[in-house]
Amino acid sequence: MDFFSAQDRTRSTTRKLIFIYIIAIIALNTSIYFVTLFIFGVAGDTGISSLWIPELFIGVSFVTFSVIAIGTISRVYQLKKGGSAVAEMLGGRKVCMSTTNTNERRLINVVEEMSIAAGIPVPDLYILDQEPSINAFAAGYSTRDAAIGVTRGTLEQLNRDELQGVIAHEFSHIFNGDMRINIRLIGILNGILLIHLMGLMIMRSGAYARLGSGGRNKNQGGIIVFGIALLAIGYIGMLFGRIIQSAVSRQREYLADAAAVQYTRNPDGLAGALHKISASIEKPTLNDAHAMEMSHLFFASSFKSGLDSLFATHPPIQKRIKALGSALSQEDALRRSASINPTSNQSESQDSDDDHDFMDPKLILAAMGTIESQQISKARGILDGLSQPVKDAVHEPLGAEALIFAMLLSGDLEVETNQIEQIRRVCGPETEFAVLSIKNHVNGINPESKLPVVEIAIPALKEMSETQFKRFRNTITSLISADGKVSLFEYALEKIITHQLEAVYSNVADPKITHTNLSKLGGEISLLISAIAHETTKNPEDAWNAAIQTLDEKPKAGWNFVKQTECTFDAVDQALEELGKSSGAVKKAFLNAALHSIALDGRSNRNEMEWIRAMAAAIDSPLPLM
Amino acid sequence: MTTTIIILVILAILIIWPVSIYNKLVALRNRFKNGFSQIDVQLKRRYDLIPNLVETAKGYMKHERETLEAVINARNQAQQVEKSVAENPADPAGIKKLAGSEQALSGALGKFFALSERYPDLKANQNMMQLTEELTSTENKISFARQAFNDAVMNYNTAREKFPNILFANMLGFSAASQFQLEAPEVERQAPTVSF
Repeated sequence: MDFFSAQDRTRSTTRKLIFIYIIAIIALNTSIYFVTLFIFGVAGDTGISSLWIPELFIGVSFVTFSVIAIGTISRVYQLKKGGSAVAEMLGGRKVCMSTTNTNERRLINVVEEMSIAAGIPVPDLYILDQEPSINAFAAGYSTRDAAIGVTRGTLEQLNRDELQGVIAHEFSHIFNGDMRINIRLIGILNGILLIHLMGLMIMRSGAYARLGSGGRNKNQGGIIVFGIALLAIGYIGMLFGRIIQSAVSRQREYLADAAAVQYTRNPDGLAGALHKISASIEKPTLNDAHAMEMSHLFFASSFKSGLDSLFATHPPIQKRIKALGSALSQEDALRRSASINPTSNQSESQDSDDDHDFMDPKLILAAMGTIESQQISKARGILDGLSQPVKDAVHEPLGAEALIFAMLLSGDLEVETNQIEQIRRVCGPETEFAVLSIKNHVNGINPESKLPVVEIAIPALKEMSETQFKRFRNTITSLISADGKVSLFEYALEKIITHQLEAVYSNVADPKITHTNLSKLGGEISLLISAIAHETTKNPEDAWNAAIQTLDEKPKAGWNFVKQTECTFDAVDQALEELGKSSGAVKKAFLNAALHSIALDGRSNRNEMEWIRAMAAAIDSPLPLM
Repeated sequence: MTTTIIILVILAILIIWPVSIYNKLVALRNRFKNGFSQIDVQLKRRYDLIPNLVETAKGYMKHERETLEAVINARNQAQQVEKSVAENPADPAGIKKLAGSEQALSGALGKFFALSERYPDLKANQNMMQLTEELTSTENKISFARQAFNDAVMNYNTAREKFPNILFANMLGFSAASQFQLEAPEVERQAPTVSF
C-alpha cells in the first residue's frame, strides 16, 4: 500500500459513499411521501384523488431532508474534533502518559515505537475500562488527530507480540485513511437513525393522545400508523446503511490484517490475538450503546446480528487467521531482502560528524505510510537510549515543556542566562526549576534523535490547558529569537510543534485541496527544493536539477533555482502552506524530488534531515526513520 | 398538513438540541477528568517518596518523633482521600476534601523541612538531597497539572452555566465541578522569626 494513493483513494471512496447516500435519501423520501399520502388520504375526508400532490411532496421532502441533514451534520460536526471525540463517545478513558500501571506503560511503549518508526505523531490512547473482551479501534480525521483505543481485556489478556499485532492493525487503518470514511459512515447512519427515532416518538405520542381522548378521533389512528410506517422505513434505511457499512468495512479489515503482518513481520502475534478472541468466553461484543453504530471502527465485530454474513462488519475470525498465513506475499519478501542491505549502515551511525550514508529514495518513499520491523527495533533503540529523566519528562506536561525549552537553550552563556530569565518571568519558577534539572540530560541526547523525541513529547504537551499552551507557544517564539537568529533546528522544532498542537487548541480546518497537479506549484517547489539543495556537499544547482528531473512534468517558466539568500524561513513557510493544499500524488512527487536532491551525493547530513522533517510535518506526511 | 410539518420540525429540534448540549458537556467533563488523572499520578508519586524521606531522616532527627509521625499520618490521610476522589473527580465535595488533606500534608512537610535545617548532617546526606530534589520536582509537576485541571474545570462550569445549557444541565445530571485550590500552607506564609 502506498500512503499517498491510499489517501487519495479515500477521497474518491467518500464520493461514492455520498452518491449512495443521496440515492438512499431519495428512496426514503419517496416511500415516506407515499405512506403519508395513503394514510392521510384514507384517514382524511378527501380520499385519494391523485397519486401526485405537489404540495404534499414538497412538505414531506422538506421535513425528511432537514431531519436527515440535521442528524448527519450534527454527528459529523461532533466527530470533527477528531479521534478523541469518538473515543470519548465510546466511554474511553484517556491514558495518562505518565501512568505507572504496567499494562498501560506497555501499551504506550508499543505505540510509541510504531509512531517513531512510521514518523507520525503519537496518537492519543484510550482505554475502555468497562469492556472485559478483546477489542480495539482507531479513529480520527488525519494522522494529526488520530486516537487508538483498546479494551481492558486487550491489555490484560494479550502478550506484547499480540498487542503489537493489534496496534499495527490499527495503524494500518490510520495510514489507509479508513478513519475518515468511518466518520462519514457514522454520520450517514445517524441521519437515517433519526427518522427511525422520530417514527418511534410519533407512534408513542399518537398512542398516548388516543388513550386520552378515548380513541374517538380518526386522525389519531392515522398518526399511530404513520409513526409505525416511519419506524419501519427508518429501520429499512438502517438495514441498507448497515449493509453499506459492512461491505466497506469487511474488505478493509483484510487489508489491515495483511498490513499489520507486513509491519511487524510476525504473523504469529496477530494470529495469536485472533485465536484468543475466538477462544475466549467473552465475545468481542461491547456493552456500550454506541457499539452498533461504530462497529466498523473495531478490531473485531463489536455487536452480534442474526444475519451475520450480510451485516458483519468483520470477516469471520477463522477466515482472517487463515488469510494471515499467506499475508507475507512475494512483494513483501522482495521488500524485505531490499531493506536488509541498508541496515549495514546502522553500525556506522556513530560517525563523528552528522554525515550518513543515505538510503535509496525509492525505498524511503515505499516505506512512507508503512512500518518496517527494522524501523520498529531502531525506534526501540532510540527510546532505550534516552536517559531515565528524559523518558520521564516526555510523558508528563511540565517535563515535556521543560524539555522543549531546554532544547532551545543557546549554549552561549549570556544568551542562555537571558533565556532562563525569560522562562522564569513568563512560566514561573517551577518551569525554570524543571528546565535547569533536565538541561544536562537534554545535551546528552543524540542530535539526530532530538526531533523524534519532540514527537514523543506531543501527547503530554496536549494535556496542557489553553492558557498554558498559549504561554508555552509565546515562550518558544521568544526563546528562538533570543540570539537574534533562527537556526534550522529551531525552525524544524517550531514547525513540528505548532503544526501538531495548534490543531488541538484552535480549530484549524483541514486544508481544501486545490492542486491536483504540479503545474501551478512551480515557484513553491523550486524554492523548497532549493532550500534543501543548498545543504548538499556538491554543487547545489546539480542537486536541484537532479530533484527536478524526477518530476513527471517538464520544468516550465517559473521553475528556477533559488539563491540561498532568498530561501528565507518566511518564504519557505508560504510555499509549504500552498503545497499543503495539494493532493497526495503531488505531495508524493515533491517528497520524491526532495529525497533525490539529498541522495545526489550519497550522504545525508543533519541539516538536510531537519529540512525534510520540517517540510514533511508541515504537509502532514509521515516520514519514516532513516 | 402544515401543522404536521411544524410538529415534525419541532420534534426534530427537541431531539437534537439537548443531545448536542449533552455531548458538549460530556466532552468538557471528560477533559477535566483526564486532567485529574495527571494530578493523580504525581500525587501517588509523592506519597511514595514521603516514607523514604522519613526513613532517611529518622536516623538523624531522633528527637523529632512527633514531627515525623505527623508527616506520616498526614500522608496516610491524604492517600486515603486521594483514592476515593480518583474514582470520581467530578464530585466537588471530594475535591475540597482532597485540597484540605493535601494542605495538611504540605503543612506537615513544611514543618519537617524547617526543622531539618537544624541538622546539617542530614542536609548533607546524599540520599536526602536526592529525595528533596525529587519531591520538589514532583510538587512542581502537581502544581502545573493542577493549573491545567482548574482551567478545564472552569471551561466546564462556564459551559454548564451558559444559557440555554443551564436549563438542561441539571436535568441531564451535570452538576458543578470544583477547582482544586490550595492555599499556601501556614508555615510558608509566616515571616521567619529571627532571634539572636
